[in-house]
Amino acid sequence: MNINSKYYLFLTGIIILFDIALITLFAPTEIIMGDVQKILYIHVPNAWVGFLFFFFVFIASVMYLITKDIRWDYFGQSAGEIGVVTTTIMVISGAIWAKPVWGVWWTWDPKLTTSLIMWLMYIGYLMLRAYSSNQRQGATYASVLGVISFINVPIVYMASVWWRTVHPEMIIGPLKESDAGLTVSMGFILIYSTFAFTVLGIFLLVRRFQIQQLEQLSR
Amino acid sequence: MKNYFLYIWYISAKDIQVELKKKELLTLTTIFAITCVVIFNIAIDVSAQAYIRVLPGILWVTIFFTAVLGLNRFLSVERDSGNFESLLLLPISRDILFLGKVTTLFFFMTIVEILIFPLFSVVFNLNIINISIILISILATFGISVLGIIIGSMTSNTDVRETLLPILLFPLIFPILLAAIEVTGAVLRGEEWAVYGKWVQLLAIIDIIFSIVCSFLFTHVMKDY
Amino acid sequence: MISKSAIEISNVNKSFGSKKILNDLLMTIKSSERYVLLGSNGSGKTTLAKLLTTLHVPDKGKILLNGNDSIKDAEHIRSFIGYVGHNSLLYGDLSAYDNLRFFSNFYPKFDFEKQFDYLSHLLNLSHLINQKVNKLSHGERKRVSIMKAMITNPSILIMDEPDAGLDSNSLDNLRNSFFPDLVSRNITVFMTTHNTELAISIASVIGILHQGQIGFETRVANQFLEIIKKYKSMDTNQS
Repeated sequence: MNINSKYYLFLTGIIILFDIALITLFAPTEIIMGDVQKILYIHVPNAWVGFLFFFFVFIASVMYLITKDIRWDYFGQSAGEIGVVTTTIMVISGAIWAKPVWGVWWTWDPKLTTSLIMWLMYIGYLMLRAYSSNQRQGATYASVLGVISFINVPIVYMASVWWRTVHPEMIIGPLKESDAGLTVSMGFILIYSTFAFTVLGIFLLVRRFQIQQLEQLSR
Repeated sequence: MKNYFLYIWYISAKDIQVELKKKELLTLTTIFAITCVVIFNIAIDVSAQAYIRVLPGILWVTIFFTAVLGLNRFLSVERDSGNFESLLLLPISRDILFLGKVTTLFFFMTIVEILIFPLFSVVFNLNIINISIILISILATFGISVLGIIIGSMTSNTDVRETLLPILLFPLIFPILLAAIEVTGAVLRGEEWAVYGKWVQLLAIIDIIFSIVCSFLFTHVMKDY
Repeated sequence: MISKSAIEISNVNKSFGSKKILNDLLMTIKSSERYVLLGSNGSGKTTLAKLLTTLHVPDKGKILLNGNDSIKDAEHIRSFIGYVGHNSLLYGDLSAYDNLRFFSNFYPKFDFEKQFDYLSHLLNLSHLINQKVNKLSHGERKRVSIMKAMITNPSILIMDEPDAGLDSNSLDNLRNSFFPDLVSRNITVFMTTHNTELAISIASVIGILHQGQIGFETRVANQFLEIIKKYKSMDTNQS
């Protein structure tokens, strides 16, 4: 299965284009929020991919520490890089959505708080590897941090939920940003978008991984 | 097994003995904490009625930055003086060494807290010497020490040393800070244990999880010293 | 099968970053042998010494000390080795006595006072044992480091350039007092050095580390001068 073959690029491209078509042409306009609701088709899938790839970072970290096979580190780094981008898109798209709907760019609700903390942990994961004195040490250090960071995610989420339960007056807007009023077609497009972005993410992940392998061979 | 905790104590006691002779680290961190209090007071200009809302945050942010300062200094000295290397050569497992260092940091931070808690009470005219706050402080300080030592051991080995530590440490201790701030605030507002007790339990669980995980991971950090 | 080799290194590889330092290195040191390793600066002597102390871990290959694997049984290995490295590994603000007392706590019980007295006489430090270590000269500090390595009765002593930067008094003490004592003890010794006279005075095996491998090695005493000549010519050839 040669990822370099244009076939996969083409396939991924088609899947994404179809998604764009669905969102722009077929998605019904929401009554209350208007067109801006469609940003959720970007925001939610990227959120899902962001968390998924953080899980990949965790798996890569654990496996590297056990096997010491450097390829797990390539995998972790690739997942980390794509995850940062994905999480950034999620945060920005969330803010763009929030401003017209809630009136503020940001609020400290549990999901957003956890996402922001996760974003910081992603960055830390990449920075620690980058600033280490050699590749092996970078891989070991990053893996240690990767394990600790992932364990931290549910703890952060729980703490954020309690935090916001204690101070409900601080929340502007509903706790769930995906409204209850999802029609069947909206739901379908949301699921399809999630699928599309996951495919894109995995495609980029494999490509990035292969580029890393080539970079190492050329040294 | 008996030796396990004994050895942790030996390592920590030696660090404490050395520091009590020089008093360099304790002096630096205490002065720094006092500086933070002053800076925050200038920066956050509120009336006395609002003190109760800002004190918890200011207190724990001060402790966080003081911890980072102390940690950076402590680990730098350890590395440059070769102390770490001499301890790595001992016939003890890495988690004993790890917990020894955690105990040392915990002890130093506790001393600083003992000095600045009364200061906070005086400056903000609010009594924070309270059993629940003391309890949460112990738990929070321990959690910060655990994460601080393992992360700090890695960052002190990189080119950027001091700068990287707070960036990596903050997201990890975010829940700890949150718990400490919430409990401190709740106690000051006169709330019941039933309301804030769960934060204390959360912190206890965080401490247990991370001390086990990080003890385990420390072996990997210390390879190729 | 009882192994008579104290140290067995098989196909050890070690790199730091992109630089390969040790390349499929093979070495065997038998019990009670005193192996002196010569090698130019940067050849990997310190790396090899650290691998033996378990401070470093090989990328590939195996190291056995008294039959114990350096990765799996690292903790046990550290209980029977003594190490003298480039750092003094001592607490500067404490005295020699306090330092050694502290480190001895972590080892199986032995007669500390007796050992301490014997070693401080041997290394000519009796008058200095209560002084803060950071007030001692480099040579005196090195001798305290040697005391620290020896006090726990190690069966393997690892020394990385112990003669580096030593004054003549300390060097004399090593040559005339400490080394003869070492020979009488039947300890296995691994030592790296540049000082070829020191090498001859203690070695029962001499080896040269070259390009990440043991390039030359001999256990035959009357070949020592030859191997040293070889080493010196290699050393001057390398910049």
